[in-house]
Amino acid sequence: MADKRHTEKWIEEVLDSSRGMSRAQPEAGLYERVQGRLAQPAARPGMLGGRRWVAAAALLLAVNTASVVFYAERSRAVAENKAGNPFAAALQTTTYNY
Amino acid sequence: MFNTAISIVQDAGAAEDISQEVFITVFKSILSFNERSTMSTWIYRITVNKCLDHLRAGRRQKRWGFTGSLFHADTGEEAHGKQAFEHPGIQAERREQAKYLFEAIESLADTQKTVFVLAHIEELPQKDIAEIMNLSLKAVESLLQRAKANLRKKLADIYAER
Repeated sequence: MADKRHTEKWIEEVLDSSRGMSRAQPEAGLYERVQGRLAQPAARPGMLGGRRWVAAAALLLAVNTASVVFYAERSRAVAENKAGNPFAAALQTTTYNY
Repeated sequence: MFNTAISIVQDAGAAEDISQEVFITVFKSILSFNERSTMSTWIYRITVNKCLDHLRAGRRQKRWGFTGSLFHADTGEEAHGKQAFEHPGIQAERREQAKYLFEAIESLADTQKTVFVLAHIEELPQKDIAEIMNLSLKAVESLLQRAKANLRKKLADIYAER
C-alpha cells in the first residue's frame, strides 16, 4: 500500500516536472541559415542529380551490351545451324514451293 | 516552433532542421495562407506535420537498417539506442524527473504524443489543438485522456525498474 502511494507520488512529481519550464531556443545563426537556403536557386524539376545520371548511364550501357551480346550469339547460332544442316536451305525451299 | 519541434522529436539537431523547413515553407506559402485560421495555428500545423514526417522517416530507417551493425565498432555501445533526452527549458531542480517524463512521452503513439506536448508543454487550449490537428474537440479530449493514462502506466513501469 505504501509502495503504491510512493509510486503515485513519484508519478505526480514527474508529470509536474514540466511546470515553469522556459521555451527552448535554437542555436544562434538559424535565421542566417534559413536566409542562405532561401537565397539558393531552386533545382529545376526533372533534372537528375549527379548520382542518378551515373546510374541511368550504367543501366543504359548494361542493356545495350546485353542486346549486342544477345544478337551476336543469335547470329552465330543461326550461322552454325545453316552450316551443320545442309537440308535447312532445301527444307525452306520445299516449304516455299507449296 | 523550435520548442514544439524539440519537445516532439526529442533531438535538438532534428528540431533545428525542422524549424528551418518550417521557416522555408511559411515563406514560400505565405501568399496562399487563406486566413481560415490564425497565423500561429497555421505555423503550428506546419511544425506538427513536419515533426510527424520526421518521426515516420526515423521508423522507416530503423526498419530497413538491418544491414548495419547494432553496435559501434570502437566503443561497443548500442548504435541505435536513444540517449535520455534533456529538454533545455526544464528548470535545473526538475531535470532528473523531466528525463523520465520525456522518456514516457517518447513511448506514446504519435498523435497522443503531439496532443500531450501541445497541451502540457506548449500549454495551448484544447480548442486550438483541435484546429491545429484538424480534429474535433472530443477527439482531442479523448487523445489527451489516453495519453495521460499511458504515461502513468509507463512511469509506473519505470519506477518499478529503478
